[in-house]
Amino acid sequence: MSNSEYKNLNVACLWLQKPGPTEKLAELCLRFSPQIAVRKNEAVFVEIGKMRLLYSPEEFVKIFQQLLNPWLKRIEVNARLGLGRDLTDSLARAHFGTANIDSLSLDALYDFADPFNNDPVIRPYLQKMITAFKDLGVHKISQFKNIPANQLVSRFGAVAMLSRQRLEHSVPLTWPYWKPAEIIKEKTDFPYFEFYGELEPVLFELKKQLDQIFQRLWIRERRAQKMRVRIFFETNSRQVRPFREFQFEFLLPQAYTKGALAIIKERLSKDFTDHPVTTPLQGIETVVIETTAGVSGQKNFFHRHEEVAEAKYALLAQLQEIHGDGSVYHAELVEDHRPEKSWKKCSSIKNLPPQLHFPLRPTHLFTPEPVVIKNSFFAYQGQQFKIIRKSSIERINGAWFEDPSDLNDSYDRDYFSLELEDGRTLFIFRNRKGHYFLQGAFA
Amino acid sequence: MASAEQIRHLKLVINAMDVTQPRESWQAPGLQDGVPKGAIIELQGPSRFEWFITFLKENPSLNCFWAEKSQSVLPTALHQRGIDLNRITFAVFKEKEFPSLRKVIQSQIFPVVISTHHFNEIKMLQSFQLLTEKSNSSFFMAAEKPVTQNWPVALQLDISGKLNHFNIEILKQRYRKTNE
Repeated sequence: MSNSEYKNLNVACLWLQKPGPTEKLAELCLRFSPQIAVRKNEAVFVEIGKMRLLYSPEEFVKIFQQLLNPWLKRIEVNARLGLGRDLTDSLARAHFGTANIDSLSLDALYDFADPFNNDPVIRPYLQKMITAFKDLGVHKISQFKNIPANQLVSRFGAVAMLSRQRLEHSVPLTWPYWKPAEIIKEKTDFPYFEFYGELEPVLFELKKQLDQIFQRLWIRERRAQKMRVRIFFETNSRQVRPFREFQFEFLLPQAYTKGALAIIKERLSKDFTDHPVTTPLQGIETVVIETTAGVSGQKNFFHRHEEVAEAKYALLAQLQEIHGDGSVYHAELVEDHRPEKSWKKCSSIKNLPPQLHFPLRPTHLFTPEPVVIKNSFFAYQGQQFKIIRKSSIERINGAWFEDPSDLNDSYDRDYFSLELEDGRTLFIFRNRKGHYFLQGAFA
Repeated sequence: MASAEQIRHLKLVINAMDVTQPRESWQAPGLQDGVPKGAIIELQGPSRFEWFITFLKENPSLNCFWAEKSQSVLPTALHQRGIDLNRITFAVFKEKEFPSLRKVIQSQIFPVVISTHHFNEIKMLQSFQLLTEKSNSSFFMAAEKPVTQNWPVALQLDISGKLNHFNIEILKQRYRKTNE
C-alpha cells in the first residue's frame, strides 16, 4: 500500500469470526491509540489516523498482528484486520475480507447503516429495503451506488439516504465513547510471614479490604454481584499452588461489608477446615468481578426494607455455603397435575402462580412406597390399619410417550386419600397395573 | 420420702394455680391466648402441620422459615390452603441444623421459624429460648418425637382433627395473652 493510499486510512477494524471478548481485545489495543470503539462480541475499532508519524502502514499491521495473534490463538478465535477511511469502511473490509467495497452484496449495507449493531429500530427498515432491491435485481453495492439519490429517498426514505451517505463517506459518524471497565481491587501483602493459616487474621484483613471496596462501590452507586478472593501462600513441596481462589456470586447484590463478610467467612472456614493451610500467608486479594446498579443517596428514614432484604439474602447465602447449593430456596408453582412436579425450587418468585384445578394436595409428599389395600385395611411396612374413610378418586392421564410402568415419570395414576383409625390421613395412588403406592400425608 | 410427697403435692398445687404470665401473642386457630411471641412452641399430633398452615393463613404478614431434615413439605399444598409462597423460605438441613437455626432466629428476619428436626439436649433448647426471646420470634418444633426435657418450651400442643375442625389439647402453657 502506498503512502498516499495510507493517508486515507484512519481506522483499523479487527473483526472476530466468532463471538469473543472484545472488551479485553480493546484494552490490548489501547497501546496504539486512546480512541477505541467496540461492537460487542464482534469487532474492535482503533483510530490510527493520528499515529502515522509513529508507524508506517506495514509496521502498524505487523506490530498489531504480533501483539494480538498469540492472544487470539490462546482463546481460539480467528480474526480479520481491515483498514479503512472511517468506521464503516474498515468494518466492511474486515467483515467481508475484501478491499473492493463495490463488489460486496447489498447485505453489507447493514454494516454501513448500523455499524455497532445496536439500533433495533433501523434494522427492520434496512431488511425491507434490501429485500425490495434484490427483488428489483439490485444485488451489489456498485449497483446501489448508481441509483440516483432522489429516487432512493422517494421510495425508501431516510434509511436509504443514510446508507448512501455512509457509502460515500459524506456524513461523519460520531465515534462512540469507550473506556476500559474499572476494576475495583484491594490487595494486602504480608511481607513478614506473620500468619500461618489461622482464619481470624485473614478475616480481619478481609474486613478492611471489603470496607474500602464497598465504600468505592457506594460512591459509584453500584453493588457487588460477584466477587473473587485469592489467598496467596508461600509455596513449597507440600503447598504447590501459590494461591487459593474463591468465587462468590451473591443471591442479592451486596452493598455492605457485614453481609458479604459473613458469606465469605463460611466458605473460608469450611475450606480451611477441609484443607488446612500449612505455609505462611503472603497476601490477600479481593476483586469485584461484576456489579449492578445500586441506590444512591441517604437511607430511607421511614423503613428499612432494603437493608432487611439484603440481610435476608446474606443469611440465605451463608446457609447455602454451609449446606450446599439448593438447600435454601423459595418454591414456585408449575402447572402439572403430578404432585411431585407441581412446584420447583427458585431463588425468588418471578411469575404469578398458575390457576390450580385439582383437589387439595397433602401437606407432605414422599417417594412413592408400595402398600397393600384390602378389605378396608391398609398394610404398610408390616403393620395393618383400619380404613375409616376413603375419598373420591382423582384420575390423571399421561402423555402418549410416557412409560406407565416408570414410577418416577408416570402420569397414569388414580389418586385418593385414606383416613385411618389412628387419625392420620394418607395420600395414595394406584397405577395402571393396579398397584397401590403411598405418596403423601395430610399432617 | 416426705420430701417426695411434698414435691408431688406442690406440683398439684402449681398445676391448679394460674401461673401463666402475660405475653404478646399472635392469633392462632383454636387458641384463645394465641401463640406467644418470643417463645418455643412444640407441636405434636397427626394434624400439627395443617394447624400450623392455618396459623400462617390467619397471620398473613408473617414471614416463615421452614426447615426440614429432608424435603417433604409440598408447597403446592400450602398455596392451596391460602398461603402466599413468597412468605415462606424453605430449607433442607441434613446436618448442622442447630447452628443454622440459631443463625436464622438470631438474624431477626423471620418472625416465625418451624423445624421438623428433633432437639432434646437441654442446652440447645435453652439457647433457642434465649434467642427467641431476644428476637421476639416464635420457634415451632414439629418433630415426630416430642422433646422429653421440655421446660424451655413455653407452649405444647397436641393437635388432631381435620382442616378447620381441629381438636387441640394444651399439654403445657406458660404464657397468656397480654391484656394491652
